Amino acid sequence: MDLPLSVTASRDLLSLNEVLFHLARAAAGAGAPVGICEEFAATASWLAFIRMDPARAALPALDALAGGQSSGDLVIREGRIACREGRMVSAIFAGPVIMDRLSMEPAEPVTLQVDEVDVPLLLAGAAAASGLGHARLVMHAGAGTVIDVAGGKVAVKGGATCDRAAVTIMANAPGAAVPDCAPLHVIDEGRKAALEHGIAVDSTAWSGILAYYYKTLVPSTERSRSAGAGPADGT
Amino acid sequence: MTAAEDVPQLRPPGEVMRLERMGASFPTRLSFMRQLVRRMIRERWRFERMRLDLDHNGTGVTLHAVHGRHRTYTLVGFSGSIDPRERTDRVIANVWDTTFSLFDGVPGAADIERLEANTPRQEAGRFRASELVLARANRSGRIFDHVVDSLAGGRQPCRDLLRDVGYLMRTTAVYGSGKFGCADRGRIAGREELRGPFQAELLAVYLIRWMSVDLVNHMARQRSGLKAAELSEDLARTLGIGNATGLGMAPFLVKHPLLINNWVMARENALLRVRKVERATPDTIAEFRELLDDARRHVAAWAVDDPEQSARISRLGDDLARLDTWCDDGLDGERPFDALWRLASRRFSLEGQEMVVALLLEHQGTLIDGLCESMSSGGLPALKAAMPLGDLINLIDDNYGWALAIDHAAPESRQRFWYYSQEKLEPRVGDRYTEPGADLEMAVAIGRDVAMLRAGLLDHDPRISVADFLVTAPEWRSTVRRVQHLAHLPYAEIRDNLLAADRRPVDILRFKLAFFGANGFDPKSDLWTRVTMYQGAPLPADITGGTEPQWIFPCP
Repeated sequence: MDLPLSVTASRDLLSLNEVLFHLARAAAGAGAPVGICEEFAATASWLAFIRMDPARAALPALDALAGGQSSGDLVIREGRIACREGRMVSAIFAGPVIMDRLSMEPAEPVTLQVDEVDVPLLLAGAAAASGLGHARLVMHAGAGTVIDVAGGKVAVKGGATCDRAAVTIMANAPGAAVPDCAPLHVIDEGRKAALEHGIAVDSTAWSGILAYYYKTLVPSTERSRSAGAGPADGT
Repeated sequence: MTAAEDVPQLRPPGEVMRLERMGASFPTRLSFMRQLVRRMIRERWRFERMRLDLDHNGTGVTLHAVHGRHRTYTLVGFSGSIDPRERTDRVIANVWDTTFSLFDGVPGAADIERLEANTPRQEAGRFRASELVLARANRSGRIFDHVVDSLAGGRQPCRDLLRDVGYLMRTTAVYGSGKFGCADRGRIAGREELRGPFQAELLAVYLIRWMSVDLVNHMARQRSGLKAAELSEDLARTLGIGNATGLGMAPFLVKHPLLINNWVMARENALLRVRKVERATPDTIAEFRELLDDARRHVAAWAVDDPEQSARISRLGDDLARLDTWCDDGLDGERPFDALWRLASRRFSLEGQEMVVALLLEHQGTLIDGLCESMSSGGLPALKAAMPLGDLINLIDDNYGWALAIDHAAPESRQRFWYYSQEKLEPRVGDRYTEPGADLEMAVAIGRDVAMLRAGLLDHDPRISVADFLVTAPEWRSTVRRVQHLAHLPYAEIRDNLLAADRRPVDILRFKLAFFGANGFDPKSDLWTRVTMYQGAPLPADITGGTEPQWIFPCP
């Protein structure tokens, strides 16, 4: 699937809080538990700070999880994260696992292999959130996108297109550093821009996310209507 | 009494964070409205009525600006008058008398045009980061027309009626923090004047109060010209802004445990500091007794329909009478406020005890106002992935005894479930055994979840890490993270079962509204309450003039 660095012409402008709120609940609508949903929302929103569209990255992950193509029933053995059921690894679930692994040894070299994952790009946000010194994500598909995350900066090489792919994550490899190549994204600047101007998301993808969110809402009934604030007494 | 018992201590969380006591909370000088008003006075904020473009029915556009030390904020109002039968406090309403946006700066013509197309639509509109708050309000069916008619007739409205109602308009929603495209909290949290909790939202409400007084004066003038009277400053000061609050505040408290801990910790530290005061000067005693008189008048005028709350108010009046008698000589000894507190905690009702907290804090600004700086917070830090499960179990045992003591299997312990309705996302409470939707319940059952987590952990090797555990049990991630980070924050958790059939959600609402600074709690059921905000607060002219009358216990 194509995941462009910039959003499409048909776009909605949202606040960061709206993106976080709806992504978390959309993940619940796709079947993820609450703690996973919160991490997913944070890591997907992180893509906005490097000028990518969080909605276009999040929707296929939600679709894959809800449709059963990917799963969160994971197992980790000798640095390899795989799905127990032979399905694709769900990035929604794998993100927190990676975050935990990397945060346990924030200064040590660690290599993690992830079997075919539905939306590998989402793992970059998880690596960034782990607070380690440096991480490189290599996506083993197409042109082989490489993402370096370090010191609050992110470099993306090999184009921003990435389909489902196996991923290698190398944290704190000896001699690793953020390469001095364009485009180099500074997270704090991206975050500031998101807060000042909002986050642009593809309208169609956002509608898809809202569809998952709506699944978490309970249909209204006459009885449930009575459980809220205030009658129409006009006083 | 032993020597250890004689030293004032923080109140234990098992006492403070129970719903019954939370539902007896009163505003204090640390409350957020009070913080805002003190800042406005200290910094001599200036108020500017920039536009009052209204017809005789009060339909039109208003701009009310306030110039702070560094920035200007403008309340943009779109005013009209709806059919009284359509005036509902519910979130699910679709029309309102007046809608508002709090604009960051002074809006230009294009901004106003854009807001005119969106603000009246409220949740259906779209907003930008230049808008900090979205709100709406309805006119009081009981006094709005009476006030306009009186002023148009050249006379002041009935003081008793104004006192009974307490407001000209009642807000039914005040949205901030990025809702519907408005500015994220992160955009404004670094500003000195908005750093404290809910300062932007409460600034908007303060400006709505000012606008509501302008509205009645303007409508009266439109009708009667020079013959119209202007609402006296004395009466205007007695009017606040009404508010109806439902269940939405409850999940907020559960979701923001660090914030709640910081609010309560500030208040409890303030109480402790006051209790440690060695002696009260004659002036301090006189000030305290004067405030106590105001509190007694305030309570005497506090009338509600709810029989349970009425009984509590009656008991509160008795407590304050007893306190008044005690004060004849009780404040003369060592640690007088500690002695007073000990009297209250032994003899008074919960309402009486919590009002004593407000009384004790009120005149101790020098001692406690600095604590306001500690009342904000960020979110929960990241999970501590390397923690062994044995350590996690110990944290639960040390800090969640209240949760483990609940019989979560009993049907009545899990009777309620909280959910968001499809209807305008209104938070609601349902009966698990008779209503659909329990499979979509909100994650507010912290006690139940912690107890279930602990039971599940016993099946695992206590030496394995939390990270390993969560690979195969991701459903516990949120609870694990919560337990890890709240272990040393005593006031972070509501130590009660929110699912239990006999718990009153309205207690949570009162707790939060008291921290906001709201008064006049008027519970309409177990699920919602009315309150008044800024009643008795200084008017814009008072603020610019640098004066703050006593208004913690308004007694019009």
